[in-house]
Amino acid sequence: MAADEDLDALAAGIAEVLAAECSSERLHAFIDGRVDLDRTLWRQAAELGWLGIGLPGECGGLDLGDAGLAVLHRELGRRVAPGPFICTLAAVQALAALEDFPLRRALFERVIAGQASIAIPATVMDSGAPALRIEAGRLQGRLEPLLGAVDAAFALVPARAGADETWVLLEIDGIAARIAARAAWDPTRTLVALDCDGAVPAQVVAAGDAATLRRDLARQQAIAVVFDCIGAAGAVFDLTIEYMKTRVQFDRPIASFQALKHRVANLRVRLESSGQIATQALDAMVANGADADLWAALAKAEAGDHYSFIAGECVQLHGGVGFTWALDCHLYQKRAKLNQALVATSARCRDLGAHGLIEAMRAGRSTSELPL
Amino acid sequence: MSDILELRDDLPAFRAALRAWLTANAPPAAEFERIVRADPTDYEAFQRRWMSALAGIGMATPHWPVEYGGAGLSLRHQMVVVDEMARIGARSPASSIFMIALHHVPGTLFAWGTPEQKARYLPGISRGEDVWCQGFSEPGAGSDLASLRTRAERDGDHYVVNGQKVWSSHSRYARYCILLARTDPKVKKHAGISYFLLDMRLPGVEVRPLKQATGRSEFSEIFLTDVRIPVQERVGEEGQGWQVAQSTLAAERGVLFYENAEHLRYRLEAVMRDALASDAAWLRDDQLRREFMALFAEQQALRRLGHRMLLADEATSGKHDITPALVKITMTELEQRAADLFVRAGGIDKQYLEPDGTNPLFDYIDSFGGTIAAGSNEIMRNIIAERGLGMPR
Repeated sequence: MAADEDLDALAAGIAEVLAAECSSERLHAFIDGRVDLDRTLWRQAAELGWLGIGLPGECGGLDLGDAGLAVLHRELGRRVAPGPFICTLAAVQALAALEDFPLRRALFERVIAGQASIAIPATVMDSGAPALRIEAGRLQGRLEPLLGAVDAAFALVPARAGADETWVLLEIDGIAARIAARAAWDPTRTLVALDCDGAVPAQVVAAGDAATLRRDLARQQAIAVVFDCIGAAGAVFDLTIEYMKTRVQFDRPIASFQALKHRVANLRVRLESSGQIATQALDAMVANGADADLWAALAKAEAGDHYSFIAGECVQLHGGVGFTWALDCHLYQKRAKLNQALVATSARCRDLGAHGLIEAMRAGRSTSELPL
Repeated sequence: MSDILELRDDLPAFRAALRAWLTANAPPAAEFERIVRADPTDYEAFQRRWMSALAGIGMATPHWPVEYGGAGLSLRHQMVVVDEMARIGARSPASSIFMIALHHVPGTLFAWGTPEQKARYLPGISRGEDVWCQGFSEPGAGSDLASLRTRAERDGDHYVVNGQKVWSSHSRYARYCILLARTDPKVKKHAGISYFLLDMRLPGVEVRPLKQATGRSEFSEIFLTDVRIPVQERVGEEGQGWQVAQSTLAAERGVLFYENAEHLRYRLEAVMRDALASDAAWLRDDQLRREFMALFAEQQALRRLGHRMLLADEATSGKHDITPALVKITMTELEQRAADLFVRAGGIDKQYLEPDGTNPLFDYIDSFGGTIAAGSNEIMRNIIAERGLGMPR
């Protein structure tokens, strides 16, 4: 477990790299199709060890755990950075918790080196019957949407095997397993569809581990999205305040108008609440206690809803320029709307939270103790 | 020193001893619930009994320094006290008629009081006897407190005070009052104010309870007619009252809000437990259940923020930023939303003035006291925007 000062230093280091590499100018060049910023960032992330940030040393990672991952996702969120970070890092983290399997070592090596990204279902907490089925060891069917890159090397997905759900790690060969992107409103991430036509999984998760894998992957995806929300909401908030201090109307900066100050103060209250609930979820996950899923689900709902609200307000507080393609506001707003939909809807997350709370109460346990 | 306080160096043992004492001696949670709606005589008697029970084990002013009759407990210990009371549904005396005496008066006198003032006024509080009130707000001076017009004119070794104060909580029970009055109307408004300790039994002091929207009379108007306050009851220099008042107002935050947050935690847990036991309809209503879970998440976020504020306070001795304003807004609005949710979830059965079980409509109406009092949430928003975010005035 890394100390707070180490994590602060890590955050500062990541922020510095991203300030140079993922500037507003480069982001706009990327969304306009002039540079492949997603790939450039991915390579740099590999060089800096970010792609193994949470993995234990025996897997070749930096061993900074969930707290280190949270810092990375927060900083990536601040810059609305493109790239398949959330899905890939959630996948390796969940896979690292499994028993050894043949591909394990090679998989982690390739991910850490930036040679392979992994696509996962976009809404891991939304359980329905898997769209893929596995028959005689081969996968059939179409699953969408996945969160992942169009050139993903692997997909980690659920599949139906008879009456049971299992999870498979699948190599995307472009023939029996194909990935196709469909443009999404958020230009900084890609949603893809997976088509399987007799693909043989690289690894089928043991029957007893499937539920654990789904749970771990859901938690990882949730926490990643939560911290992406925290970073992005904080950044769009900051740039809005700066704008309001310079924009003059009626001979005074619009930041001096009380009606606007009060709206901004309300956003600050929401930011604070988001940050605290995110830490609650992170602490619960690090402790790996009985309530980790409850807090991950509730934090996802809160952080997603708050970020979405904040991003919308920030467009409005900018006035006309906030509605233009040239400014960054819409990038933050679109990312917010995707984040809100990822993992599971806020309604579903709160239902999962209610389920967890009821379970805890029936067991005579409080979910809310804070150490003093 | 009491048995409990002797265990102060061992926090878990301190907690356990306190829990045992509270279990044996604190009035039941239902009494604390009922008494806030009881008539003033019963209410006062209850609060005084509870306060003297705590004073009996040295826990009337445990947060005060030892030299002033306290136990010098750290903030961490105070948080344990708050938590243990909240756990069983008990309220601390600071949340009732003793609030000003326990927090605002010491917050002011420790920093500004003369040795004589401290010796005269603090022991009565640590014995659990004296109730104090605050004479700050006026009909024309609410959020704009510095525009207050109550006059204090020097006449030899006295000040002669005339004016009217309002929204003074618990002043009908109070022995003393911390009072702001204008001693110099010619200088700028902040510079002409002085701070006094007023004996409520002096001639010319008249307290008229105000009936609130809840039907209760928690606060009163205070009319001051030619009240003669001795010069030695002035705190700080003449004209320094605004500065002195900042110490008073700073004492309002912190532990008090933390207590409210802890109560909200146990209330939400109790509501859920009751809903499960009674198979409440709202739990099967998607919208109401999800609203509850959002509140549940936000109260935990608030508690974490409160922890951070108090524990950081302990480390940096009171230098914090806009956190108290964030806590105040979040706390009071969560209480309001929770009460509103419970009213709606309760349906027509909770529309009775005295419904069976809980009384969420009382809490809801009363919750506007929280969002308005102690610096309205709008003033808090100004503080966040101007001091926290540097937005120009």
